[in-house]
Amino acid sequence: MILNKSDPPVAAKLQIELAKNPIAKAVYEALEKAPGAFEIVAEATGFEVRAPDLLPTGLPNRARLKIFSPRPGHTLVFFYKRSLVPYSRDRYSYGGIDLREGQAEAQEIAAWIAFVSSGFHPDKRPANLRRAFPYEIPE
Amino acid sequence: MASPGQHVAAAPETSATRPPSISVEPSCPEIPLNPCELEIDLFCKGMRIDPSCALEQDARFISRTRAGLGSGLEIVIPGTIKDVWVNVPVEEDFAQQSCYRLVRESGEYSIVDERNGLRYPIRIPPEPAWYTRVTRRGTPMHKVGVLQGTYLGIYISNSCGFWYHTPPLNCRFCATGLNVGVNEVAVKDVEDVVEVCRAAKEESGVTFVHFNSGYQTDRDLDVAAPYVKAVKSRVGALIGLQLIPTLAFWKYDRLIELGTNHFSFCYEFHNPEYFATLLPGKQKLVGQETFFRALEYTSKQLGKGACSGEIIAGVEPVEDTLRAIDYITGVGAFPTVCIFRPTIGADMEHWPPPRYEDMLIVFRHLYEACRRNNIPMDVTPNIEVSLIVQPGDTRYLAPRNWATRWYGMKMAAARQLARPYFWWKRRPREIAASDVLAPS
Repeated sequence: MILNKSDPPVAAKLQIELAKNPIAKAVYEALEKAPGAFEIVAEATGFEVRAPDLLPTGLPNRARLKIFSPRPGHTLVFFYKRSLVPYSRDRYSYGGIDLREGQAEAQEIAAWIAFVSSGFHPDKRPANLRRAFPYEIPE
Repeated sequence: MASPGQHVAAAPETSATRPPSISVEPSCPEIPLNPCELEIDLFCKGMRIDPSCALEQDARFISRTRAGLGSGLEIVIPGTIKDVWVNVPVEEDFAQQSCYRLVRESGEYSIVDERNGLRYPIRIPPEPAWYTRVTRRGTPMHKVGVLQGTYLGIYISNSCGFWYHTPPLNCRFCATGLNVGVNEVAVKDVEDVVEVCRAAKEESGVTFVHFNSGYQTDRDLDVAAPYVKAVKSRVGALIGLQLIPTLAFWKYDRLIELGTNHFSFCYEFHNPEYFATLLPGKQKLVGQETFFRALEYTSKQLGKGACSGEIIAGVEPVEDTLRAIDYITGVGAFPTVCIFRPTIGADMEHWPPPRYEDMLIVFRHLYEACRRNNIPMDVTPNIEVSLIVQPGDTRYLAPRNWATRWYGMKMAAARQLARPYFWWKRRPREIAASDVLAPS
C-alpha cells in the first residue's frame, strides 16, 4: 500500500508519471496491492518509491526503486539506496533493468517489489537484474 | 567456499567457517587506544553519527567512487608521531551497530567509545572548494576525482570489464561496477582530469595523483598513458597507477618514461583458493602469478619502496595475510593492506567485518616486515591514505627497542634528504615520449 498517495505533491507527481510511463503505472498498481508500506518520493526525477518499514534486522530499509525514461520508448528500472548521512549526495546502486521494449510481466514487477521490500537481499535479486548499470541516473 | 559466479552468501559466524583467528576473545580497552589502534578499530567497527554533528558544513561529502572503499567519513586522528587519516565506515549496516559515535560539542568533534566512555578528539577535514565547481567542459569536479586522505584518486575507465561478463566475473568485495554513471562520470576526459589535478594541487596541496581502473581487456596500461603524460607535463605531481597487470613489461618501461612514479598491484589475497574463488575475473583472465611478476619487475625498475602490493585483510586466514606482507616487503615493495569492508551492494555485503584483535596482529607484523626489509615509510611528502592503515601509521604499533629507534632515525633522515628529490619529481616537465604505448 502506498501511504502518501493523497499528499498534494505526491498526487500531482503521480498524475504526471503514470500518464507518461505504462511501466510506472503497472508498478504503482502492484504496489497498492502488495503487502507492506511504500512511499512515493515526490521530489525525485521519474517514478521513485521507497519502503519505510524496518527490516527484520531492526535497521531501516533504505531500498529505493526508480523508473525513468532516458529517451521516449526506453524505460530503465533502477534499484539503489540513498545515504544514511543526511547531507550526503551518494547513491548505492544495486543495479537495474533495461526495458527497451517497454514491457514487463506481472511476476517481474512482483519480483522488483519483493527485492525492494527485502532491503535488496541477494536471495531476492530479480533474475534479469544487471549489476553494472552504466547509465547516467538522474537525481 | 562458494564457486565463482555463485551468490557469495555471508560466512556464518562459526569457528569452522570464519577465517581462523590467531587472537583470543575480543577485549574492551581500558586505556585509550593510540591513533593507529583507533584507526584499526574504526575500520573494523565503523562509527555512528550523532545528531549533534554538523557535517554538512564541516565535512567532505561522502562519495563512493572507485571500488567502494571511499564510502566513509574522512577524519583525522591527531597524534604525537603523526596525524592519522581515516575513511571511517558510516554507511554500512555493521557501522550502525558500532560502539563508536561521532559527537560535536562546542564546535569540536570527538569519537566516543560507548563501551567505556573514552573520548578521542578528532578533526574533520573540510570539503575543498573545487569539489563543487565544474570544469570548463561543465563536468562536476568531484565526479572526476576525489581526495582520499591527502592524495587525489581518479578512476579513469568506463567501469571494469569483469562486470560485463556472463556470468559476471567481478571481484566479490568490489562495488566499482555499481558506481559508474551513478556517482562518477563514465569516461574521464583528459582535459577534465588536467583541470581537476591542477585545482587539487594548487588549492589542496596535493602532491600525488593516483589513477586506477578496472579490467580493460589487456589495454589497461594503454588507457592510462595519455592521463599520465598530460598530468605530468601540464600539472606536475607524483603519479601512481593501480591497474590490472601485464606480462608485457615493456609497457611499464614506457609508462615510467611518461612520468609514472609508482605502481600498485591489487592481488587482494595471497591464498590461491581465496584468490580463485573471490576474484573470478582476475583468476580466469589474469592469474595470480602475473601480479607477482609485475610487482617484482616494477619494484626492480623503480627501486625499493616505490611500488606496492595491495591486499585485503580479514577475509583469508590471518597467516596468509602475514605471508603476503612478508612476500611484498621481501621484493622491496610496501604493503597496502585494506581492512575488509563489506560495502553496500557488493556480493560480500553480508560478510562480517574483521576482528580488531586479528587486525592488530596484521599491522604489528606489517611494521616489523617493513623495518626488517628497510622499506621506506612516510618518506614521500604529503601522502596520507585514508582508505588503509598505511605503513607509516604502524609506527604507533612498533615495539620500543633499539631496532625501532634506528629504523625511525633512518626514515627521518631519508625524509629530509628526499625533499629536493621529490620536489624535482613533482615539477611539470616536457615529456618527449609518445602516450601511445609501443615496444621500442
